Amino acid sequence: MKNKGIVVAFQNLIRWIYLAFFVLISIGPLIWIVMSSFKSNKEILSSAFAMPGSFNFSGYKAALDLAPIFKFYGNSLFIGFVSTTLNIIVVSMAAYILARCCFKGKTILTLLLSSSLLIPTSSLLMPIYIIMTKIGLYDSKTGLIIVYAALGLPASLFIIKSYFQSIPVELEEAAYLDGAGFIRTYFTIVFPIAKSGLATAAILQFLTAWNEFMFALILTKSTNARTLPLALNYFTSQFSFNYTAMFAALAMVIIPSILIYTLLQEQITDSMVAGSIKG
Amino acid sequence: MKKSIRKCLVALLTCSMAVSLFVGCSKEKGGTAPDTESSNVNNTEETGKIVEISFPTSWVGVSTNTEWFNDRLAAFNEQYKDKYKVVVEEIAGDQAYVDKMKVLYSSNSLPDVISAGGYNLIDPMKDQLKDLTDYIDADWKAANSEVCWNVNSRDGKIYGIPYSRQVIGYFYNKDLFAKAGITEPAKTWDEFFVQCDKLLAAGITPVSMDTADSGWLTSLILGAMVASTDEGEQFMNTSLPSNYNTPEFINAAAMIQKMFQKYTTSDAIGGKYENGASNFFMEQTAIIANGPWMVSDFYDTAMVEEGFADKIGTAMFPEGVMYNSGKIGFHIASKTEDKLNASLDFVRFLTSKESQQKMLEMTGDIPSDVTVTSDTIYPIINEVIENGNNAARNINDFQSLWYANVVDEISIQYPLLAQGEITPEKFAAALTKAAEKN
Repeated sequence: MKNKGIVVAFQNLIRWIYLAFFVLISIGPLIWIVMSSFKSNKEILSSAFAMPGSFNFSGYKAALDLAPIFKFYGNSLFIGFVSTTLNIIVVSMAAYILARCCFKGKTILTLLLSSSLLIPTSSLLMPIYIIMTKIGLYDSKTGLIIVYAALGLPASLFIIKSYFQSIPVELEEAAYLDGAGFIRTYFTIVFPIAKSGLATAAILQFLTAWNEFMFALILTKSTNARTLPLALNYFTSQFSFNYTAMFAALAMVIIPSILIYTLLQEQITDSMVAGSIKG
Repeated sequence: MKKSIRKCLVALLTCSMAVSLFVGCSKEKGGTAPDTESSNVNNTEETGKIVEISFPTSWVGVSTNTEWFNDRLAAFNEQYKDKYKVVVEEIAGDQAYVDKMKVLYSSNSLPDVISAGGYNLIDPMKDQLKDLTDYIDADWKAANSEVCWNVNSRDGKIYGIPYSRQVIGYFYNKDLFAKAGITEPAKTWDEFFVQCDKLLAAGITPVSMDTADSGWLTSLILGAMVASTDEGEQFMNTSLPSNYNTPEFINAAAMIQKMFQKYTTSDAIGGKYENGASNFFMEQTAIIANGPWMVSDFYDTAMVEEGFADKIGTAMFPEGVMYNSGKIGFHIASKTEDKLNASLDFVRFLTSKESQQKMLEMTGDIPSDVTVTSDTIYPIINEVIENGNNAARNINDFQSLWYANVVDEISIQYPLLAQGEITPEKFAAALTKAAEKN
């Protein structure tokens, strides 16, 4: 009996150590960034892991002075949300058709849409730059929105199609029997059920748009359309750097990603589990 | 019946995908999007008599030139407000700047004025850069030293207008040297390594090095080592060398390998300039190779301890080697005559005596005009200039001389060399192979 208690206590200890390890490697860097944003350059360089000597917000002030962070922040949020919405609406419709309907060329179409995953981003830069300038979308938010929506197409298609395939077709048949049409069935039956899958794709799409750097650099030239990842370059150059301001900017940049993931993590987990069992 | 309706809907939904993308495009075109036909193909637009020119710059944020550039831009706009307007595109980060220029070059839409902070864009892009030879009059030419024009010229044609000189040796921490029993900087590379051993014995890491972003700190030492012989000095003054399989280059690579393995910090492999600089600022290393633009950091108490600058000495590289050369300056790629004239006036303003003096005072960058001096600069900068004047061997830096892809290749090969995965011979062969691709 006593031995059993020791075994249970030991198992619990292992469990806690295991969990603590993952908490540490997940949250540790974030805490370090936030802590560093309150330290001076000298403190960061001399004792990277020590607590800040005092909590002052000079790093945040410097970050805002050095780079148009708020402007870029607004642009990033707008571009992220609109490109995500566009991506999810368009791709979910395509994914539904590819998941449910049988038609000639379906496999080729699916492969074609998925194949863009295999094209390296660097090789897309110049053609997309030329297209954007020709159609008048250079240095505009719309240009970036379209590019980001398209960049996330294969990943979203893969996730949403798998999720649609996991929904029992009988639900749709029942809707048809009750007199619902194709569009009504899609928007009132399938779309709500696929909420988790759509949320997963949406989160990944938003993060893609939120973190993307190269297209934002190449396809824009004014602060009106530029996004946050470009702002981070304002704090280091070839021969100078301001770590305090950079960490302050980083702290401001990562907050939305963390908030979105935290708020929607249940949806993501549900979707992943559902996809893995039924997909 | 149902099947045909479904087929129609399939087609409709597919069309809606295409249409929604198309609508997104056309909406903006008629709405708020800028006139990109003119702003990107010509990169400027003219309003009345005012000529607009475009100038993307990386002199933003924490760049050492930001304050100077903002001052000069405001002065130019004020002086020429009835004639010209400079449309500035902020591109933070030197590498990001070069990357964007590559894409603009590929699509034949380079901006009017370009300054890549010393990166060699002449060779990969000279077919789209203006040959400025006929626009540089005798006075303008005489105002800058010959070495500055040489580095900006190819086959007798001028593609860049200089504004500063590269005078680079190394800085050392006098306190740490004294602690290790070293009285003065080494005269030969053998003596240099003896001093490194003394520093190690005193518990001090001798040298700040790096590998990322072309390994600036490391490559400066490599170039100085190569230039220790007559052949090597010639090599380090040769534009676009294609053969690195030379005894002096391989010997230098071997010494660099030894330094990586024995005389530098563990963060050198994969590290960038700021890692090396941080180690020097924190007195964790005793030596750093760099130019006088870092001197202002020696006085910045947000970076270093009070009085740090008093501990810093300057030195030539062993065998009397100094980087003492021109720096690649401003390029012009205007496509019309009026924009070209506006660009020339803008560049002439930025490279004027007044602008160069302000640059010297505000950034520590040494002017290309040798007559420009100032009494209000840090004494360490004057020491560097003095070293440059007394050097036995004067060389140019690798970023200005070597093919851009060779400069990129260095960052890939340094970690392999440092970890002993390749020999110095293979290192030289890899750079040669990269150079031969051009």
